[in-house]
Amino acid sequence: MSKNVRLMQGNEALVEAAIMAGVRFFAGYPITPSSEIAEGFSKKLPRVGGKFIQMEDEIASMAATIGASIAGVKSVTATSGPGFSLKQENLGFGIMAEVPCLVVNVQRMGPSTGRPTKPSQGDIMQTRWGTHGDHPIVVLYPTTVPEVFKYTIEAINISERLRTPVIFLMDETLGHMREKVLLPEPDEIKVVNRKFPKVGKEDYLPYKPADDDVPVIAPFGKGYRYHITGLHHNYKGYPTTQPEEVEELTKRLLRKVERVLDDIFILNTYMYDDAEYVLYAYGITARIAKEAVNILREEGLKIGLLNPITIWPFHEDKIEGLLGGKKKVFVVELNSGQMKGEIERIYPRKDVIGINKLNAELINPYEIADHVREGLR
Amino acid sequence: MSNRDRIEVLFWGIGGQGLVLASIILAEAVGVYEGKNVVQSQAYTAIVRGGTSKANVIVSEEKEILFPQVLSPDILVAFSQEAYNANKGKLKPDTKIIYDSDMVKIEDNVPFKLYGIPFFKIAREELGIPFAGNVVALGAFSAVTGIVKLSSLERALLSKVREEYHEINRKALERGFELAEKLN
Repeated sequence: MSKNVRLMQGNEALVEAAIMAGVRFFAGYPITPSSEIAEGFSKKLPRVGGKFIQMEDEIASMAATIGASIAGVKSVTATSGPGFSLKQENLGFGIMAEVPCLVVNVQRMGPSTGRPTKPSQGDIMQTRWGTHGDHPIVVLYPTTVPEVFKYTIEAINISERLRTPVIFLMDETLGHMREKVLLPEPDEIKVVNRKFPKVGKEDYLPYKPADDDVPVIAPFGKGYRYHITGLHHNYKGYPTTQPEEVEELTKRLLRKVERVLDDIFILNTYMYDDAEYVLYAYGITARIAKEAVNILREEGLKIGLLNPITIWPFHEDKIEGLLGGKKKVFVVELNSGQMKGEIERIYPRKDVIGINKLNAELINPYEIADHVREGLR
Repeated sequence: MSNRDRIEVLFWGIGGQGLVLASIILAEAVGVYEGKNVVQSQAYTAIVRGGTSKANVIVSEEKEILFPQVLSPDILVAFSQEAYNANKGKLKPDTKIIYDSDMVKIEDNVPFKLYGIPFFKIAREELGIPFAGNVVALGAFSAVTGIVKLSSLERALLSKVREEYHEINRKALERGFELAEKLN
């Protein structure tokens, strides 16, 4: 086999991929089940000229991650539920001030300290609405260790392109399990870097959006003087109370993500075209649901899988189109039905059935198959 | 599963015996050096030396491994009495149990295929490295199951230990293989 094939944990694959995508800064506070991410960065970043800082807590970790990115360095932080809760305020700052970074949440079961060493998918809605105010969010959630590698790079690229924090979800199982990853050569991957201003330092308006609604913001320390704030601000970056400026900024932040939805919405399907019934699943449960499709197909049931990798934004038009003509949708989640509500907004409620497990154990494919059979009775 | 191109291996024992490391070496040997599909995972609990420790390895020649955990082990590597007691209800009649015969007692007339070797005693008394029982067991695993070559295990193992310990680890693997071959 190729010498570039390595057996690694999801958490390790994330570190490898992030460094390959150009990340040179990590600030964090170790927490199970994400600790191997901090450990990996602490070993690897110094060797590539990067910086690792273990901060005093998760609030400071998020702040340092944003600070490093403002200085122009691709930055990552990683945590689990309790720490992710603490990061929410500064996450909102990152969205408002348009600072790219990757925020990793390896889910354990909550609320609170919950069940630290076991998988859960309880943070789905928190990733969408954890920080306050109307805001856009991009959340990727892979299903295998090779996908962790692949979509970490994608998530960092999206963050750089849109100048917004991107959330990368995993769960305890995915973070800790080991699978083979074929490590690409650096020239085999596409890396996106944020744009640098072309105008002079005198005329510089950091928050004046370009045609794609994304402003071109200079890194601090390069001679461009400007103000950066979590308050609503004008093109110069200074706080504003003008209703039209407030509205323009709020709408532009939402629009810069909405307009590229087709590009950033990643969805995988399995046995889907002729399917009459649908399993909708993401993350670790999606790969298990795929096995449930195999089991039920052997019994002659025409069922297929919709597996969004980009779980937010929720691409209503695309998913509504894909569900058109199908008879029932089963939404498989290790939570009480957080994504099910989204499907119910676009599909007749009586035909949406939740398959949920809340005991901090994985659901197995036979359990999923049993729930489907029961739902069809 | 719906196909039988899937072998489920459960390692179960006591923290400090090195069974998680053994599971990683096995996974790397079959996955990286033999090109098979493999998933390895381990139980993360508040494990301290002396507490229960367990690990899963699932191997498939061709098929994508979807469910990442062991449902009903095809092979149980048992390093403690609890390993057998806690799992005997889930085993299939043809499950192979590779166990430390000093630590695990199995009743007569069970349907399982039994391969008992005192791994840790051999490591301690023959090889002089008491903690290499896991490596002796891996050698036996290769002989008993045939799902991984001894040479692949050796490559995966030696990539993880300092050169001064290569020879003794090689010996431990080979000794386990020889003893298990006699049982086959």
